[in-house]
Amino acid sequence: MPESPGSPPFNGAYASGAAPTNDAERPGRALGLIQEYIAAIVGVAAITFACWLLEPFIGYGSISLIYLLGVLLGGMMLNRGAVLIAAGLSALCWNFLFIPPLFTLHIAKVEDALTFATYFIVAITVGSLTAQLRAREHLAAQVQVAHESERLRKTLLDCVSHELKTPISAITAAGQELLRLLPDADQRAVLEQLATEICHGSQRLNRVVNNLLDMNRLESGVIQPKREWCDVRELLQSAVEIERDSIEGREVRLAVPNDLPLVLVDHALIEQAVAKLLANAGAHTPLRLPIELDAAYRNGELQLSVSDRGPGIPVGSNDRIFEKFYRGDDRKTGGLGLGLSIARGFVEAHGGHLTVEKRDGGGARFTIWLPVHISDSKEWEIPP
Amino acid sequence: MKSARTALIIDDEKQIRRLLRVALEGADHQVYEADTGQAGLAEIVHRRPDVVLLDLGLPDMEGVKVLRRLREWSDVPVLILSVRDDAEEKVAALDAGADDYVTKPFDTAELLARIRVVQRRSLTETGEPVFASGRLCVDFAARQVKLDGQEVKLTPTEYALLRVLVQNAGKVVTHGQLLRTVWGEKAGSQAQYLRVYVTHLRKKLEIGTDAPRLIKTEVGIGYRLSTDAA
Repeated sequence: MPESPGSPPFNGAYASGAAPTNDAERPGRALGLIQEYIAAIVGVAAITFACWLLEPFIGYGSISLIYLLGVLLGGMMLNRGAVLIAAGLSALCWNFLFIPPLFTLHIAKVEDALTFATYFIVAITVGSLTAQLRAREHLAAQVQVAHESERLRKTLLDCVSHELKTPISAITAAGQELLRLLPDADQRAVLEQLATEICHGSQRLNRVVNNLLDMNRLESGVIQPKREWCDVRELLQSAVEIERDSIEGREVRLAVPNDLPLVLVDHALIEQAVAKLLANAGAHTPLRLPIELDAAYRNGELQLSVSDRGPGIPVGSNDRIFEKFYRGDDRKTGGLGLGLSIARGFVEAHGGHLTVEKRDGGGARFTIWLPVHISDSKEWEIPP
Repeated sequence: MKSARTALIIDDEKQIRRLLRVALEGADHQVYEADTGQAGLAEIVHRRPDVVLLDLGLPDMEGVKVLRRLREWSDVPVLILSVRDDAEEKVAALDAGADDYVTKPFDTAELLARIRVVQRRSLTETGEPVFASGRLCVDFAARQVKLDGQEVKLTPTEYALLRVLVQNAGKVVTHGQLLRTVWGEKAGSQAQYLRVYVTHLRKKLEIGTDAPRLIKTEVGIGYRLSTDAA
């Protein structure tokens, strides 16, 4: 089954109160599960009444065909259980009310017994077959809708990504080219400042676009970790490299045990999660205070923590800081407030979790907990 | 205008083409443009450029398809321009014969450096017997590696790995290319060997640096031996 969080067009069509079983989930259905059973019983009762009126003219044998027609129609609209109930109930009604001796379940003639048995089997088979057929059709339609909405989402993302990033590329490239070609003129200082502004502006814009695209990818549930063997030290170093600008002026203390084995993780995803935590630490830590980056492996779990000496987490907002667009009390740090939320999303997409705690002596510590496989550090020496 | 080299830009965005033209002309290239894959292929036949800058998201055909067609008859250096931050797509392009890539938004200085590197490859295909860059010196004939003039002992595997990176200095080399060249076809996707030996090499060659400066990781793609490490 394709994943479904990305296909909301569907949900509105479900009948309220329908139990979420495979049988009950039908698009565009007007009835709930209980109502379907009631409809089956009412339907049989209605047909029985009609047959009661018709019986003098057509004889009790033909009544079974009218019942069968009812079961067949039921199969097109109701779930399998309701159809089976309609089949069973109609067989009983026919026997009780129409087959002589009347008002008993006893059947006097052998041919009546034979017709009754045949009716019972045909009704149940037909009912169950039509219901199955419909379930299959429904599944195929659902798969198609899911594919379609996935295709639309991807097209939209690609488009937005392309349409926003192309002008950003142009601005970035133009700004940098301007900086590179600055003439030796009187205005040089002013020109340089303007070009630098263009570069910084486009960097910031690019960051926002990336965050929005990441958030969208997370919410549509399309992120599938691509695990590969990673050197944790290298992963942390490249995260520091990414955020070099936002943690400028603060010492980053990297502590990775020397015997930490290679781990099987999605390098890009976890590197981005660590980078978001670093950016957050950079935004809230006063200059010159260190940011500590630690790694440890215990009982099948990799722990990566980012600790700062900032103001810490306001009391009671431990969970709120991971919410989208939450920006803390000091709005001066800027940004959309998506960083921590994306970090948490990436970590959870990887089967892990992200926690935050108060540090002794002030500050906050964010820890990424990831279930990982480790390598036995195999070597494969080629012959000299 | 003296133009020692020619470059062809295949990109459907006019603004990007204009900017690349300015940057490339500033770096003494004569520039041609094409806005579709078909037109690009025709221009390559017609102009015989020294380098091709190829956007992966073209309106008429996938960039990777352009590459495959092109590689049937030409070995012109190709630099991929991609807005999509998708490692798999880049690996596919590199495997299809691209020489390197830059992701938009790109740094013009970095782009020009990459263009220099991919063009240098085609000039020094025969190979110099000695490679020297920054603190590193590799003597291929003597199989000797020196760091700051001091000989560094490498195992045969470490040496083989370093040699591939050095021969492609400045260019990205994919995991697959490294595994195949060093361990042979049967190495397949056993990327953990690669990590282990890259870590070994870094321990021996990156002394006194807090982050890798010589062997750079390209996440999800491969490694690049940096030539600007001082």
